[in-house]
Order: sequence, then C-alpha cells, then structure tokens
Amino acid sequence: MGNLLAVSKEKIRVALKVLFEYKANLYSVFIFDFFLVFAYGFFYFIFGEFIFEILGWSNYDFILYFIAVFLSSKCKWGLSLMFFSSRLLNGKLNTLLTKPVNPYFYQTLFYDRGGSNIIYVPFLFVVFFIVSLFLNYNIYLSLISMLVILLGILLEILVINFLESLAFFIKKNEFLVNLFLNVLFFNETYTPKLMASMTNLFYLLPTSIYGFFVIELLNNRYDLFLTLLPWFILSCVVLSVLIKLLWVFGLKRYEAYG
Amino acid sequence: MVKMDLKIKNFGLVRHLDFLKENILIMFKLVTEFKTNFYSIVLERTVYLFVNILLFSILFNNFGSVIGWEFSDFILFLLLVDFFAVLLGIVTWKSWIRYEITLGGFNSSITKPINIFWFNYIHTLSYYGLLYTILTFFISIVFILYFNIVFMNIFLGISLFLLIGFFWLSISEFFRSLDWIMIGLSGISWTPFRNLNQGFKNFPSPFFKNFEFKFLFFLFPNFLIAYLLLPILKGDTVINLMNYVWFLVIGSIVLITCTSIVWRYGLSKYEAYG
Repeated sequence: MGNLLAVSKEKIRVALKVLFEYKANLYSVFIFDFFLVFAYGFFYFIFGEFIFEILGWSNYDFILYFIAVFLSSKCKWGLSLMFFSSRLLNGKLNTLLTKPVNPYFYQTLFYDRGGSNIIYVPFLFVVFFIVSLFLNYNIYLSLISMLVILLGILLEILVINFLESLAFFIKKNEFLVNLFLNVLFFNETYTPKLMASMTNLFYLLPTSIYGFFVIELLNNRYDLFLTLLPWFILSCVVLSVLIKLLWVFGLKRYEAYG
Repeated sequence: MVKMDLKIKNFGLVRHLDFLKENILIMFKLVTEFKTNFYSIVLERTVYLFVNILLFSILFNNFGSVIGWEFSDFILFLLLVDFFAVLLGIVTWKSWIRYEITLGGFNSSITKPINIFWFNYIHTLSYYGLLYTILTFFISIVFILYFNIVFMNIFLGISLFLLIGFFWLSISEFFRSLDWIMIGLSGISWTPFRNLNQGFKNFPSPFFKNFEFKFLFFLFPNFLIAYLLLPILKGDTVINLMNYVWFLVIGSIVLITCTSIVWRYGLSKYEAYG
C-alpha cells in the first residue's frame, strides 16, 4: 500500500508537470471535450422534447444528467482495465510485473494515462457541484448525489475490470466488454424508466446509478434507489472478490514472454 | 532529408491494382488462419444482433407511433446501419497517421514502388472488418428476404448505399489527413463527428422531422440511411432524390480534392528520420 501511495504521488506530480509543459496537449483535451459535449448536448436537446413528460424532468435536470453521464464516462475510460486483454496477449503485462507495486492497481490507475485523469476527474466533479448549486438544487442532496455518482462509477469500473480480467482464461473476451458498453450506452441514452416497458433489469445497471438515480435523488425521489442500494453494494463486494480470484489464479498461469 | 510527393503517374494503375489484389488475398488468408477469431466473432455478432433487436424493440414500444415507424422499419434500419459500419470498417478500422508521422513510418513507404497514399490506405485493410462483413451479410440477407423488397428498389438501394459509403470514406479520409496540418487534429475533430453519427443510430432521422436545419445532418450516413435509403427500400417516394445524389457526388469530389491537397502539403513538409 505504501508503495502504491508513493507511486501515486509521483505519477500525479509528473502528470501535472506534463500537463503544463505541453500546453498544446492540455488545450487539445479541452477542445476535444468541448466538441464532445456539444455532440452529446445536441442530441439530448432534441431528444428531450420527446421524453420530458415521460420522465417528469426539467431542462435543469437534463443539464445535470448530461454532466453526470459525461463525468462518469471520463472515469470509465481513465480508471478501468480497458484493453487489458490486448496487453495480456502482447506480453506487456510482463513489464508491469517487475514494478514494486500491485499490478492490478497500477494498471487501473496509471497505465498509459500518466495519471492525468486523476487530476481531470476531480475537476469535473467540482463542475458538477458548482452547476448543481447554480441551478438551485439542495446543497446536501448535491453532495449525496456526488457519492451516488462515485458508487455508480465504482460499480461500472468493477464490471468492466471483471470482464477484462476474464482474459486470463478466455482468449478473445473483448466482445463481452463491447456488448456491455453497448447496453450501457443505450441505457444512459434512454434512461431505465423508458426501458421499464420491457424489463426492470436496466435499473440495476451502473449507468442508472450515476445517471437516472442521481437526478431522481436531486428531485427528492429516492425510494427505488434505497431499495436497490444494498444490491448495488453487494454487487461491488462480489465483483471485487471475483476480480481478486481471477487475478490470483490468472497470474499463476500467466506465462507470456512479451 | 527525403522529399516526398504523391505522384501516381510514375508507377501505373496496374501495379496499384496488383497491390490491392495481394492485400485482399492476405486479408482472406488471415480470416481463415485464425480460427479462434472467427468463432469469437460469430458468437459476438449473434449476441450483438440479438441484444440490438431487443434494444430497438424498446425504442419501438416508446417512440414507434411518435415517429411513424413500424417494428420492421427499426429492424431494417438496424441491419443497414450495422452492415454499413462493418463494410466500411474494412478500410477505416486502422490507426491514425499521426503515429506514422511521429514514428517516421512514412520513411519506409518511400522505398515502395507505389503511391504513398494508396500504400498507406491499402496495406492496412482490416480482416476483422471483412469477417464482420461476411457474417453480417448472411444474417442480413435472411431478414432482407423476409421483407420482400422489390428487385428494382434493391438495385437502387445498393447504388445509394455505395454512394453514401463513398461519401463517408471521403469524409473520414479528410479527417485522417488533418494530422498533416497538426498532430492530433484528426482525433480531436473526428471523435465528436463519429459520435454524432452514432447518435443518429439511436435517434433515427424521423426524430428530427420538425428540425429546421436538417440539411446539416446530410453529412452523417446514419441519418441518410434512415432518411433516404429506408424509404427507397420500402418503396416510398423520396422527393428530390437526384438533389441528394448530386450532393453526395459533389461532396465526395470536394473532400477528395481537399484530402489530396492536405497530403501533398504534409508530404512536402515531412522530415522525420524515423
């Protein structure tokens, strides 16, 4: 743990230096996100007309929903084991095993990204909080909703990491992650309330936690979320144990030469 | 320093066609060589299609009557969009040229007796894309036979499908070439553009029937597929079809010209040592 903290500190320091050293990179990240926000925002703006009444949400709700989903997608790309299977196949895991830190956490937090997400993600959380206050949402509910977002992000990352960790035992497992992301994308686009006409299972997906339930919570509607909360926490625990087991047994049989 | 340009006349068309043929053969060999990939993709496509039909049925339940589409329209749209993505994936699923620029990859291209653009374009054909295409084609054909589409409409539909495909390729190649102007510019501009196109899969064109500036969406194939191709295959009338065709043809020509100019500019400035 001590090693991991020391590495984290160093990585954050390097990430900060890199961010301010290469200004073009820093600006390009913001420009990129600006266009991405525009692309998503445009669709929500058009689509909102069709589902305002069904969801009972206001324009403000949609703005916050949009920020929460965007924030979470950033975390998903930055803090998960995405593309781990390819690292396993090309033997790059070997280089990480030589580091004096836990390889699972090292890859989750820092691999390929130099820790810049650790700086960027808190920035987005601050944006969410400021916007929610600016739009006159209750300050306590805003703080709680940020915890709910964290829970949703955690669950999503754990599911992705679990599916990616299967690569130790299944040669071609990328399609599981792709399929999962496809369903998540659909769920965050249409919200589980619309999906409920077919099945209520969509309420259990992580996108529902950091998207739909956050807005419901901010509007003082949290009965359903409280009913499902124990299941979400239990899922996190079960997935963590499964990932641990996959890594313990997976690393034992890992033999790549790189 | 090595100077580069895009002279195709020095090498001849036959050589380029030979090179294309060889790369297609290699692609087919890769498909049959890696059996695990083949089986995993068969499984993936089947599950993917099943999940997507389920998701589109939810879309139909909620918005079918609002946008005036039958369930069969949603399914046909899904198949067309999916087939379009994988077919074009054969040539578009490849890395950005920024990697080749920064790593000096173009240095090795200059020794090849072939136009640099075509070399870069053809030698990275995706066999994954081919596998997906073959499989999606067979799945789609079953559904398309079920829809009883008139032969003439199929013919017209295929022509328009290819035209939209060519237009989209022109757009994607133009975006890819932007790395010659500034490293990373292609990624910054292409990703939001691609996401907008993806958005038109989940929100097909009838959602925007009251939107005044619809002409802005003609750049996106997923919009055009729902707006033009689907009505043609269903046998509905498309008003001013030829105007759209001219737009696609002229748009492609303009984009190809721009791409060529950017490549020429980039190669004339290229100085990497690799």
